[in-house]
Amino acid sequence: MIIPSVVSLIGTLFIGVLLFHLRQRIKENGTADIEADLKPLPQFNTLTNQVGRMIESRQPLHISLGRGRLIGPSSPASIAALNILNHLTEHSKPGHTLPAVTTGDASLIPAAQDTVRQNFASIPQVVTGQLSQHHELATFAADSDYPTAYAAAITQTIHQQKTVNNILLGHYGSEIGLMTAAGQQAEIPQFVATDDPTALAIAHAFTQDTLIGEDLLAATAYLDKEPAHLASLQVQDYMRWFICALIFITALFKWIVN
Amino acid sequence: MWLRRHSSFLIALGFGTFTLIGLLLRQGLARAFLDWGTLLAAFALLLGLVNLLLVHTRRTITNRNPYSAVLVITIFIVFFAALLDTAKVTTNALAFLFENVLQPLESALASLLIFFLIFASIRLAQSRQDRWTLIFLGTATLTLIASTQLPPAIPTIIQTTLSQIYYYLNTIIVTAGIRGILIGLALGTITMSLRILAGWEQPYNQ
Repeated sequence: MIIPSVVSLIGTLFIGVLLFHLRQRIKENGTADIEADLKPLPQFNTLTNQVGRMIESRQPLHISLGRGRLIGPSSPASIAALNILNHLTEHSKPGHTLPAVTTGDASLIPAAQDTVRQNFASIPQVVTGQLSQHHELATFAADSDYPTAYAAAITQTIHQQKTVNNILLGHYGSEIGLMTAAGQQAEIPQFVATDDPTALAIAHAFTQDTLIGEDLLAATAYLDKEPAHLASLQVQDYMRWFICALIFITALFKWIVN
Repeated sequence: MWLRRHSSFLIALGFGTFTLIGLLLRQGLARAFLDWGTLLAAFALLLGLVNLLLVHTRRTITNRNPYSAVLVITIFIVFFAALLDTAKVTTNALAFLFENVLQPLESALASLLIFFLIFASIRLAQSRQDRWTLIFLGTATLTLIASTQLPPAIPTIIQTTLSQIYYYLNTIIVTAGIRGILIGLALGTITMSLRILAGWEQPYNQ
């Protein structure tokens, strides 16, 4: 029982050391080479263009952080969603229009509110907490255990707040179809990035701007281009090759034995 | 000063490292930390409820929004039903509300999903005519036909071929695709966890 644990620990340490080494190398040599090698994902241009649309129209962005919890298997998707929220709110500061942020899990509320508050600290009402009716920092839509209730709340937000777009990030299930259908009805651009393959398949019928699985976790590398994030992508690539080789060798071995 | 500025990172580093090592070598310690986290998340639900109530009360008063008013009233009805149940004035009032109001509404909404998907597919075929749309629509149609009971008038050979295609589509192509996505997610999760442990990413301190 102890051997797999020790192997896992050694593996984690090895990945950690590799990540540290690659980050140092990127910091010394600059990010230009790595950026040139990144897989082209035009969806990120669509995402960043939404900020421009929001500033021009003076209507809020709708950013939903999904119904993934901060504790549990969907926490990476939730953290990635928070990172994207941070990027979008940071760049939408000049517009002085607060986004309509909704979450399906209460544990995301303080983090989301904190992110919006810090990025819009220049607006006095944000600091004092005296916001107008549609300018809450982040709203709890419905509990994650009731996906369709959550979808209904998001649908209402899209229609009532007349948002300029519909950005769905984090963890969703098949209820995403109801939310994207609302966005399609409102004829607004939609962007979906989720970790759930079923939700992705459904969302793909409604919008072309979808990020598949790990691309959601790679969002900060594409948007902020920090050395640590770019190094992470390199580590993931090396690990992917390693897993491919492992699968191939295992299949070959099984075929020879049989 | 340094300690104050980095206190949140140090707490995250300490708990993160102990949980990681604990999960791999000593389950009990990690379990205790995870239980604390779950307890905090449970309190967050209360925070979420307060947030929901405040937001919709404000919208009801300032904007005269009828939907928000219904939501606020419903929160109080459910709360009152729970109180009555606890005081043993009523039995299962809360369960009655959930079974007769929430569940039917949820089921009705969920059943609409298939219609939304059909309309979305039609719109997709109209707006985007490329090979990906063709693959998407072809696979969806094939899956729908093959997964339903076909009438006996259709020759057996066609029925068998369709079910074979459906089987291979599901067990090889779909499963391989999903596994690929999940492996990618797992790798992304590992590197994200290490970034958080190293303090290069601080979602708690943005």
